[in-house]
Amino acid sequence: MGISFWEDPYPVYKNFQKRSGVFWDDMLEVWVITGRDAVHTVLRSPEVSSDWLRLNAGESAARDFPALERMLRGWFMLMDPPGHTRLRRTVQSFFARTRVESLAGEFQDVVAAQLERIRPLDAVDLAEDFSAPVAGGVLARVLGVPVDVVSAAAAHMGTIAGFLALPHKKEFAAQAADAVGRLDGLYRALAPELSPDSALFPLVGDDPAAPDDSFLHTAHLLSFAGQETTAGLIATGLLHLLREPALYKEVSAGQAAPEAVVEELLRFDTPVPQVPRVALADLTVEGHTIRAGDRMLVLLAAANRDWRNSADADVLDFARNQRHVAFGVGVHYCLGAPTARGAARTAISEWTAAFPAARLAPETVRWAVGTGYRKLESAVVRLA
Amino acid sequence: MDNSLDAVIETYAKVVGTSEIRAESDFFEIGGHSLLVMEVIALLRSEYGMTVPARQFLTDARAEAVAAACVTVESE
Ligand code: HEM
Repeated sequence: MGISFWEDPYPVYKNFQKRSGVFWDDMLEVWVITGRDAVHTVLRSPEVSSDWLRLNAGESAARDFPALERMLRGWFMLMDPPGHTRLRRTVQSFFARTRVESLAGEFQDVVAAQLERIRPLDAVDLAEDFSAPVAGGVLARVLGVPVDVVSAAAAHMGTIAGFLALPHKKEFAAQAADAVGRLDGLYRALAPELSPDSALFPLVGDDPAAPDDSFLHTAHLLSFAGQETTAGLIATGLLHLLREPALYKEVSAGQAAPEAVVEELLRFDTPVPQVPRVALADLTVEGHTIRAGDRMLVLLAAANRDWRNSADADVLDFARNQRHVAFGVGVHYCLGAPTARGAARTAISEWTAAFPAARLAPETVRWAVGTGYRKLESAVVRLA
Repeated sequence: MDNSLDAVIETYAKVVGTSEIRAESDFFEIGGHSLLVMEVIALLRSEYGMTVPARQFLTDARAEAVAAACVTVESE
């Protein structure tokens, strides 16, 4: 039995990148973009769209589920300017670096509470017992909503992600539509109780008993984009450190700058390995002509390793220049980057300091299968 | 037909990295990634001299369905 794509997708990405920075995949009927320069060119091009309907022209099973289709069309991540710009601007200031950094003490409290809870245990699951509750707690604080709403929403994200990974599958669309119904219920109930300093408050509209669609859509988007990603970075990050005891020791002793550690972990294994795009007009990338209407799969994870320009791309090294595209490039650059960075720096420094003798039980490591993002499902760690 | 089924099962096992594959196993449900379909097609061609259209995986990616859609190519 070999190592599956889900345990380690990087050998596959490496083959792709060695073949070409840009190539056509016959089954997916997409251009696969793997090269670092090609990724920058595509993501910065005004001829390239993120629009949900254009991306899935005629193909998606969401057509049969109006609420699902409406929600995806309402996510600004899946819109082009100017609609994208208008909606993103309504929440932007809540995610700005200065605001997020002013919450550092609260991130610290969230992490400390989880460490306190697990400290007496012999062994814990990195994902379920630590990274998921930390990500939920931080996201709840940044959004200004109760943590139980964020956790309840998080439970539905796997279903929606499964559908986005294979949008032609009718049963996945049905499950995702069901999840959207439940999420609507959660956030509709929250609207009348929302605090005026919540990031979502400006979107509710005049009547909290009947909140605007943009409130519901943006609430879903932020739960979707924020929870599993942040949890994933913390859990996979700690996993990779635990696999390299010398590095773990260095971090746990406070000998490596948390900023450098987190940037290197983002380069090494990002929770968002790919983003989709579609061409609005013909464009040329590394000598290939991508035609108007052609779809693209932009492999950020491949670009991060950049094997073509870097001999030691597969080595974790905090001292390198960690240029990466883990948060994307261009107008859709991750809104949550300061949040994710703040959460991961605190979680990783505090965990390693609290448990300097932690040891991974390698046989317990499980990766999610069939998702469009990278997710460590479980990994048991002995704490002492 | 049975030869092609064995070939597809062996290829799935190699690409996905698991051994528990049956005729009704769906490539995507056993852990295949859509980006790996091209690798399955390339291996079926180079190791077993068979071709299958990529679109087959979108219609029905069970080993038996893919095997049924395989066509043997003349060796050059
Ligand atoms: C390690 C954690 C994270 C990673 C790796 C990540 C990665 C990304 C990437 C690659 C994009 C670009 C999508 C594209 O170009 O199509 C993106 C966009 C986005 N992210 Fe994140 N993200 C993370 C955490 C978060 C958090 C914590 C939030 C919010 C609380 C968030 C909210 C968003 C939003 C709203 C967008 C869409 C931005 C736009 O379209 O303008 N992300 N993220």
